[in-house]
Amino acid sequence: MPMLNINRKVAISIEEGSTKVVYATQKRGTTWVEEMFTISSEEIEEFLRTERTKSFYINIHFPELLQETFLLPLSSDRHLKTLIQRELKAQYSDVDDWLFCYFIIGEKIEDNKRLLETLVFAIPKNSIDRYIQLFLSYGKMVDSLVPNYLPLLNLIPWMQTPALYMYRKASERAILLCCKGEIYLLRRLTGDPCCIDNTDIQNLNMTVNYARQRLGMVPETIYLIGQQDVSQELTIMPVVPLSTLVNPAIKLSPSVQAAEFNEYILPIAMTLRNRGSFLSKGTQGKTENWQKRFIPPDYRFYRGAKNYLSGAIFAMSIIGIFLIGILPFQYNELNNIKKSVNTLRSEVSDIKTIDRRYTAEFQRWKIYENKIQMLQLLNRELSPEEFLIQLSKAVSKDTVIDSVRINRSKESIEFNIKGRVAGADLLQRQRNYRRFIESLKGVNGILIVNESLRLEEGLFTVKGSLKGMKRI
Amino acid sequence: MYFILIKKRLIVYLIVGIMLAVLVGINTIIVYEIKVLKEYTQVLQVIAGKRQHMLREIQRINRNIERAATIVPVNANPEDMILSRVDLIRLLPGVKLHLETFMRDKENLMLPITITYSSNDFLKVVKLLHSLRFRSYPLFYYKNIYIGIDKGRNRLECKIKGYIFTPLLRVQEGE
Repeated sequence: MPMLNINRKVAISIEEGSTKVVYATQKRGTTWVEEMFTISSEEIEEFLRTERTKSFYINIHFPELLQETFLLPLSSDRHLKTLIQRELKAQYSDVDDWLFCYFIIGEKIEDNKRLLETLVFAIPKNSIDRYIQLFLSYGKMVDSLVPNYLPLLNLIPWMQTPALYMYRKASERAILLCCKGEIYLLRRLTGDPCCIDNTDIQNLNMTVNYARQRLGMVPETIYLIGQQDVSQELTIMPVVPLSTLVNPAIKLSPSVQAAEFNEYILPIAMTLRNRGSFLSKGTQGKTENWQKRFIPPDYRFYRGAKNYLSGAIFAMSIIGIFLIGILPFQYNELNNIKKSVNTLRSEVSDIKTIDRRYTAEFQRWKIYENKIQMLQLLNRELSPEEFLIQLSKAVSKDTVIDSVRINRSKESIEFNIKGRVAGADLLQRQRNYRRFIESLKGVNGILIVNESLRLEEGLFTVKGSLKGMKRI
Repeated sequence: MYFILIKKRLIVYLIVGIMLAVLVGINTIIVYEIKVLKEYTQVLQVIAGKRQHMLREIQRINRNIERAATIVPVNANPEDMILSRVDLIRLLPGVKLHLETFMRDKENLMLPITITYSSNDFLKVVKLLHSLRFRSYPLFYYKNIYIGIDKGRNRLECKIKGYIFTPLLRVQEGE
């Protein structure tokens, strides 16, 4: 039993009487075929039971595969699908639902209307459901499901000119007409199980003629895919040259027998899905598109839902584990904060008492404060003794103070000085008096409001105010 | 049909979802609680800071009150204090006092007083005035001062009118 490998693709081709299994790995644009074997139709359930791979690429031989060409009005992709579904139901009313893919192979104008010539491959949905159920019953997922021969499109390169491709496996024949990544024709035939004989060549020549006459296409080459043994008794020659289709993107592991390669070409082609090295981008886009169309929408929804649920469960589990992981840390942090809160709360629990005490102390201090301020104000005013000292400093030997009166009123502290000034003459008397007045004015805290001198007698009166507290 | 296949997964999804929701809820509550408690801690720290500040202020106020109590009399008999102050003035040499009756206003108790003093020395007058400047209550508050030369006696005559006052304080001690 092969080991489980994430990059490994397992493709199964369910054919008439046998089932072919291919294990392939994608490495740098190359598909490495690692193992291929055949099991009988009865062994498929046992294989699914024991196989560890969860997802499969399936090619199925559907005898009921329908190939029709419809002329449809020019419309969008979504509308085209509705029209095809409607056409299929109209023509095959016994089938409830169809799964199909289509290829636009040309345009025609009928009654001045542009019509799309559409090649449709369709399978009844219940036929596909049967196989889906088989895989689901063993817990396997179907990644891709394609009816027989269509996987060959994965092998065919994008070419500017039309070409015919003939696939052969034993008596099975499939002739495809392709151009610019589109399939224009698929013919399923039977023939000689041993080799390509005259009948096959005749069929090829007829297909070439059909393409020329009906489709207006001139195939330049016929490519052979699969078993390519040609009969020695060939009497008919092909009208266009024969060639072998080689896909450089496929490599065989040493353990794989190269001789059997052609028998497994269909499942190998399934593993080539989405490879861009061989197919052109244009073809790749369409290839992906048509391959998905045989997956029933309800199964696609189930698969999407399952993937979503798995992803969501995984993501939620990771987030949950993370949250559970950080929970103890957060809980610790919360506890630490609670502890510090409790400590702080107990610390400040007496805040009201302290506030009351502070208010009381402050009120008590207020009583003192007024008195202290009053004392400070009294001490700040110019005291009478300082005034007298300053006055004595201002007095010179020619000046005599007779009286000093200091009155404190509500508004101010006023003083009244009476005295005499002596001098040899009036001028000298005046000068002495001015000197006295200027000296007095120079004393900080004394403001002279009025002063007068009777020169003849030398008597003077000075009135003023002292800086200080006006009232208590 | 497909629903049956995903039913188990759906149930697991719902259970895990509910568990996750519960965990997210718990986590959110814890985170919110941490946030709220951090804010509360900051508020408590501010209160604790203010508490410390108030305690320091109380100590400072107490110290100030202690100092102020040496200057401002509290709970003492104001009349006694004023009279003891008058006695101090009376002790000054050459001083004559004339006392009136006690007066009282809203805050203070006052005793109007008239001081007369006679001296031939100007400095003694200055010293007398300086002696009336007390550093603590009761204080002398002058209303008017007259200093003049008595020419007949050739002396300085000094007359000081004012009052001795002290605040009427009643403070509860030991708070």
